[in-house]
Amino acid sequence: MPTISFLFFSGPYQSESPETTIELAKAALEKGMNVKIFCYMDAVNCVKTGQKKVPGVTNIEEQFSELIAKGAEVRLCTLCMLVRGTKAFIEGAKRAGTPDIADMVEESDRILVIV
Amino acid sequence: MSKKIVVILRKPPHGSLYPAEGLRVAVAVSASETKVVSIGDSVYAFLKEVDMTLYKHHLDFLRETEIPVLIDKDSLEKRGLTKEELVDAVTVKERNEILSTIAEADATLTF
Repeated sequence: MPTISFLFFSGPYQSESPETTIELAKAALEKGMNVKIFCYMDAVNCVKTGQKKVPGVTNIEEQFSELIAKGAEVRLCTLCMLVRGTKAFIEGAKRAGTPDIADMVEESDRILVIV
Repeated sequence: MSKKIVVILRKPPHGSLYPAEGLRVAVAVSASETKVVSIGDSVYAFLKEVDMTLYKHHLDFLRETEIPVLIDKDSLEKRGLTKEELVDAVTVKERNEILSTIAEADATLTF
């Protein structure tokens, strides 16, 4: 089963990059691929808990929880979380560090960088 | 066999943390065959006079471990800069060599 990984940089509710990442990851999961997402810099805030539901706006927290429930592996840059004060995050996401990016590269057939 | 990784820097060192983070990741993946490529405004990150507080230690590590940091000559010239203005840890390369380096990579990580 091929593995696709995302190196993902964007925080939520500023651009559509989180939605793009989510939709690509969903499509890959539906095709039976392994999906790994490394949330780097502001992207760690995409998995914060307590995001308000606003009609007509994609709730990024819920979407990431759904990806994890479907089997995606979501890793978070711990240093990025510390400097942003990001503490509470969704169940199933894992703290990680930049060495995990090296592992992801070795384990993946493709890396997509989404800024 | 480990993969060939190219970390591509694109953004300036002022107004963004991307060059610093890209170099941090280059250090992290350096157990693989790694090269760093600097294009566009990221070339400003390697000026002798620039404040490198956030990434000098990464650059020093890359130099000590002989991880090449390649600067795109075209990007440099378009900004009126010369290789003499850059720190010793980097090497200026022609655009075609930069493109070949990227083309030969198994994975590119863009910052």
